[in-house]
Amino acid sequence: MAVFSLNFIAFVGIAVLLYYLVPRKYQWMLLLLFSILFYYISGGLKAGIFIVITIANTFYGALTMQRITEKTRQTIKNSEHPLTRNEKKAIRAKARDKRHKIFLLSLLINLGMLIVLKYANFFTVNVDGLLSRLHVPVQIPVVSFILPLGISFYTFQTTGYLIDVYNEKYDADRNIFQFALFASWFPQIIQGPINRHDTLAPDLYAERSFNERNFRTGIYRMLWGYFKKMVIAERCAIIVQEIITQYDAKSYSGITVFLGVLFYGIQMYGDFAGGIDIVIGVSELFGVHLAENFRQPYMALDVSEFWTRWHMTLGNWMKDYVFYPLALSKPFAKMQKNLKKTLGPYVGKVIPTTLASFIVFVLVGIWHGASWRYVIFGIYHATLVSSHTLLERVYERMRAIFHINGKSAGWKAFSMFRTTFLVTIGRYFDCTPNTVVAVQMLKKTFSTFNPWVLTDGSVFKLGVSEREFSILMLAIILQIAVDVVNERGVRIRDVIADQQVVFRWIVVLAAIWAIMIFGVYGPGFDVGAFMYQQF
Amino acid sequence: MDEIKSVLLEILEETRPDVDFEGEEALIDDKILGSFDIISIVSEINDEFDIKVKATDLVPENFNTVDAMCELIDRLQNE
Repeated sequence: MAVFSLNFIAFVGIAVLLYYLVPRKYQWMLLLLFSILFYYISGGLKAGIFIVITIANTFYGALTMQRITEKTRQTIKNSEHPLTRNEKKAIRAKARDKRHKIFLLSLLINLGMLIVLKYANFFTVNVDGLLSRLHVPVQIPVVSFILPLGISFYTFQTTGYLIDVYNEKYDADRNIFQFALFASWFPQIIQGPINRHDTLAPDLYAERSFNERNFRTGIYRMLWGYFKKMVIAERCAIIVQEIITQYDAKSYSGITVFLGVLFYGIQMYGDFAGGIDIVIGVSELFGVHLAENFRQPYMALDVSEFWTRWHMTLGNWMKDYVFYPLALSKPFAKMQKNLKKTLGPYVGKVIPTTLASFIVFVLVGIWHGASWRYVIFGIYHATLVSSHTLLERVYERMRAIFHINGKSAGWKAFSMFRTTFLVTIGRYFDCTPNTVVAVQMLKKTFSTFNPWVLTDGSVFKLGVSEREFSILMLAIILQIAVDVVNERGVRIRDVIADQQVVFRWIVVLAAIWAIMIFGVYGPGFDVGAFMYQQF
Repeated sequence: MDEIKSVLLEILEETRPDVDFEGEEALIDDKILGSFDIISIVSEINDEFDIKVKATDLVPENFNTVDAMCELIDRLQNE
C-alpha cells in the first residue's frame, strides 16, 4: 500500500480514530496491530517470516546480553566472601566474552539474512559471468529470493539497537511485542527514516491523549509531502522518462541529457523527501516523533556536506556504527602511527580517515541496490568526498592565490551549483538501467554543447507542455523558497499552526486544492510508487 | 584539569584554526565539527593523554564543549 494512495489515507484515518478511542494502555497494541495489518496489505506476508526472525533474533540477543550483565553484577554483589580485584576482573571478562559471542551471532543472523536475500542473485550472476569468461565449464545455480518488504530499513534499525545494547548505551527491551512495534512501525517500514530505539521506542509505547497541535502540524507536514510527490516528483518523472528512455532514439544530447538527470535528482528529492514528510506527518498524528531525514540537501557547499543533509538517518547510522568504529579500530590506529612516522602528521591523519570514509561510501552505494551501477555510484561519491579531504589544503591555497573569500555569498552560490553538478553526474549511475547506458549518456552529455535548448522552446517538447513545464518551475521555486526559509531555522508549519483558525483552514484547503489540481495522476499512478520502496 | 584544558585547546586549535573553541557551546549540534574533525581530534588526544577513546564515546554530549571533552579525558585517564 503506497503512502500516497487514498487507501493509505483511509487506513491512517481509521487507525488514528481507534488510537484515541481505545483505553490508553492498549494504544501501543493497536499500533502493533495496524503495523502487522499494513505489512499484510502491502504484500509483506510472502516473505514475512524474515522480519519475524530478525525481531526474535535481535530481541533475544539483546535481552540475553542484558541478563548476563545483570547476573554478573549480582554475582559480584552477592558473593559470600569479599572478592579481590582480580576475581572481579575475571568474572567480568568471562561475562564480556559471553556477551561478545551472543552479539556476534545475532549480528551475523541479521546481516546474513540481508546479504543473502539482497545480494545472492548479484553475486551468483557475477561469479557465473566470470567463470564463463575464464572458460571454466562450471556454473553455480543462480539464486533469487523475494526481497522482504522494508528489509534494508528494519535490518539497520534493529541492528543499531543490538549494537547499542551491546555497548550498554541503554537497556534491552523487555517486551517482545513492543519491540516488534519498534521494528515494524507502519509509516516508516517501507522507506525509513532509520530510527534509534532510545528516541523512537518511548514515543511508540507511551499512553497519550489527543494533542490538537501535534495533529495540526502532522497534517501540514503530510500535505507538503503530497505536494512534493504529486506535483513535483510525478511531473519530473514524465521528463525523466522521456529523456532517459528515448535519448538514443531521439538523439538527445548535451544539455538536454543533463537536464534529464537533473530533473531525476529533483524527482528523487520530491519523491523521497516528500515520502518522508508524509511518514513523519502521519507519525505525528499519533504523537510519535521520527528522526529527520533531509536538511535542504541542495544547499550543501560540498559533496561531503551533501551527505550530511541527504538521507541523514542512513548517513548517521553509517557514521556511528561503521565509520567511527572503523576509524578508531586497532588496524587503523596502527596505520595512522606508521604513516605519521614515514610521511608526516598531516598524511598520517588524513589517509586512514579517508580510507574509512571510502569504505563507508562504497557500502552506502551497495546499500542502494545489488548492481554494479550502485557500486560505481558509491565509489564516485567516495572519491569526491575523499579528494575533498585530501586536497583541502590545496583548495585553501588556491583560494588565497585567487583572492577568493570562502565566506562570500558569491562563493557560496558557486559552491552550491558545483555540488549540484557533481551530485547530478553521480545520478547518471542511479537513473539508468545499467552502467553501459550511464556511460553512453555521459558521453552524449559532454560531446555536444547546446545551451540554446534552454531558450529555443526545446524544453517544452520533453513530454510536458509549456503550461505543465511552467507549473513545474513554479512548484520547484516554491520548494526552493521553503528550503531557504527552513535553512534559516524557521519551521513553517509551526508558524501556520500559530495563526487564526480561518487562515489555517485557507492554507489547508489551498494545499489540498493545489495537490488535486496540479498533481499528476497519470496512468503511472499505481506503478509510480515511492522510489525508495525498492530498497 | 587546567593542564588538560590547555593541551586540549592546543590540539583543537591546530585541527580547526577557524573555530573559537572556548566560546562555542554546541560544537557537534551546530555542526561546527564534522566526523573527520572528531576522528583527527580523538587520534591526537589518544596519543597526547595516553588514553583510548572508544567509538561509543563519540556522542555529541562528550564533544559539544571544550569542558565536556576535558571531562571525557579526565574520566578515561582515571579508568
